[in-house]
Amino acid sequence: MLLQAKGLVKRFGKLTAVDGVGLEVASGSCTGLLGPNGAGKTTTVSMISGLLAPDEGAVLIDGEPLAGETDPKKRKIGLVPQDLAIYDELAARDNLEIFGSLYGLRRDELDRAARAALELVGLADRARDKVKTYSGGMKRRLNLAAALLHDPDLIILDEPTVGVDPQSRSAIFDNLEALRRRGKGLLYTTHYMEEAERLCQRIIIIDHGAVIADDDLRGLEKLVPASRTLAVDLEGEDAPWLPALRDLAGVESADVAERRLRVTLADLARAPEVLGFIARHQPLHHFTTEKADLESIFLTLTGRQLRDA
Amino acid sequence: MRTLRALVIKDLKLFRSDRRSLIVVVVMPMLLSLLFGFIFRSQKEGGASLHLRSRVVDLDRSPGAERLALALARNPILTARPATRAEAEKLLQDSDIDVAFIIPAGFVAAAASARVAGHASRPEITVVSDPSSRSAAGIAEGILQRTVAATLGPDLGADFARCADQQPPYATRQASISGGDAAYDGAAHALAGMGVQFIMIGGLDGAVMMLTERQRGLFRRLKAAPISRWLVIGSRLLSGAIIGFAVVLLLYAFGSMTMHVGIKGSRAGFVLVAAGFALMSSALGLLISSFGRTPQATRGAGIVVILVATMLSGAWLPAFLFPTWLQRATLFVPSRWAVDGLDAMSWRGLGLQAALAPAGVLALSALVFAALAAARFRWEE
Repeated sequence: MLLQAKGLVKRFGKLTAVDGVGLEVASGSCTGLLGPNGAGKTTTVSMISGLLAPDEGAVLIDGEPLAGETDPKKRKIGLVPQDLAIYDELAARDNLEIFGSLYGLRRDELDRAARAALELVGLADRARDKVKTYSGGMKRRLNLAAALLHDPDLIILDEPTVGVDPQSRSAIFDNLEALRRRGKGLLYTTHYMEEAERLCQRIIIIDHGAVIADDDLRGLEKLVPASRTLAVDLEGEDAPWLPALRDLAGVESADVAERRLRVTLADLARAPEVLGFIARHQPLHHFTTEKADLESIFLTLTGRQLRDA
Repeated sequence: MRTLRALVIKDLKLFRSDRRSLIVVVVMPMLLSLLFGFIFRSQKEGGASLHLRSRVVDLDRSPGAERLALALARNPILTARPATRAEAEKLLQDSDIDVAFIIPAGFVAAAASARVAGHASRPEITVVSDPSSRSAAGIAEGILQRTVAATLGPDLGADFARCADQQPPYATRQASISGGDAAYDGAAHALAGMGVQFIMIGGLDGAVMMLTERQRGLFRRLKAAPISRWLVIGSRLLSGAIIGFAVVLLLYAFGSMTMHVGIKGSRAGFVLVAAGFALMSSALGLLISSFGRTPQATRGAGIVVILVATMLSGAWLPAFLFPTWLQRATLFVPSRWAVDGLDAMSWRGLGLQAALAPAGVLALSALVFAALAAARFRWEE
């Protein structure tokens, strides 16, 4: 296993920011790390990438523990920080030369690595331009490129698409999928559920510093009553029988929008009865049950209360 | 009008909420004016607070000359202790005293003869000082003239001291200890002083840059690499020192072209002092950054530290204007050694030997500052 984090604990004074988090990332896979603000994602990522020493637990890279500032195993890790950790005043190429040299890359090696990284993120033609002239999306792509120079086996991405336009986001996804196909292991933290759905084979949800779910998407879907909503296409906007529908046993809510009726049931077993009621008032042409998406799973598991910290 | 009012109120509220601005703009001037006021007002009011470190060399040994030496010793500003000529010169060369009074052999008798013979060949008491202490020598010469008139007037049989138009039968004159080519060069001193001040500000800029990097998350990327904090600190120390050293060289090249300021002493000594100072200012920047939380707050506090250090280094005001305790205390201010060292190698024209102490003190200070900075270094805010 490329990465194994076992029972990670980190305390800041009386606050336990991370409480026994464990996770694994295999080569050629992407693991998503999801959680609300203040859940402990960044602290977990910091411990895994060697920025913070855990109070308890261990981080194993290829089965060997990661320890100390200068541990050579750090060469196997590429960190894409949440902040745009690049020098605005320097050219993209200069930035990459600086960050590559931190990993001991020599001139020719560094030259090749910088060129390849810039090609991958689509910035080769702007390599000599100062970063301060870049758009937000370009800076994000350069932020990614800076983590790839030393050809790490494990790439840790801490919310790498914050504030980028859809085109740049899509480009970053393409880059990451290409890296995964090359056998790199990805650990991806994000707030965007559709990103995790698209990229990650395994998803870990943490809250209050602890893992509350760890499975693939199909497995996570089973954790919540996902398919309780019926969607029925109507012939018109008018549905005078709607109040009567809402009064039916087992119907939690019923609303019409854009000729589509959405009925949320307490139990999907009530669906035949509800569909029969609707059929008595209008012909049934098309209906579906709505599948739970990751967002609804996430909100079900972590709650809807705002998290500002 | 309403919009203007709203915008002005907005700025005032922002200013009030910015604690750093409040401290820098309001509190710091108060504290600094309090400090300067304390230093200079105490001298003006008390008189005795102004103190010139002095010696008197009595080569005459006559009763009149002995009375004069005693009067100089009793003067609260001078408290001139007796010394041999060699001792006094050594003390002047080592900057341990500001002035020395040389009463020549046969002074009192010669003055009495000069009065009778019509002042044709008046004997002279020499006020010897360091060339950079002209102001100190001027004050000392004034006190000397009053003391001689009061002490030797009866011996010379006249009250010439009371008559403004009557010339005394003796003279006083100022002389420089270095002699020869080493005349005081105000431009060279200004170059050293301003160089020290602005290179230290450059060191502060390095500190602010470091804090900005930390704030922007760049340290996370550095820390993710297999490198130690010592490497990060060492690289910053070295880059700051290289910049500081290059600026010293550029500054003196500029001074040479525009004001004909030259390195009249040892070039190797100049390089040593410049390198020591560049290292010290870079390390000072690191130390300031290790205490600073945000770049903005650190810049404000750092500027105050540097202004005080520059003032104490004698770059703005002659050190003899400070109270005696403060003159001694400035020996613990590394920038004072930088100014003295650069002066020694430029207009004073001293040799390599004179550069060793300043360069050593500066290098040692750099070491201490860097060690403290490393101990306090934080990767994260």
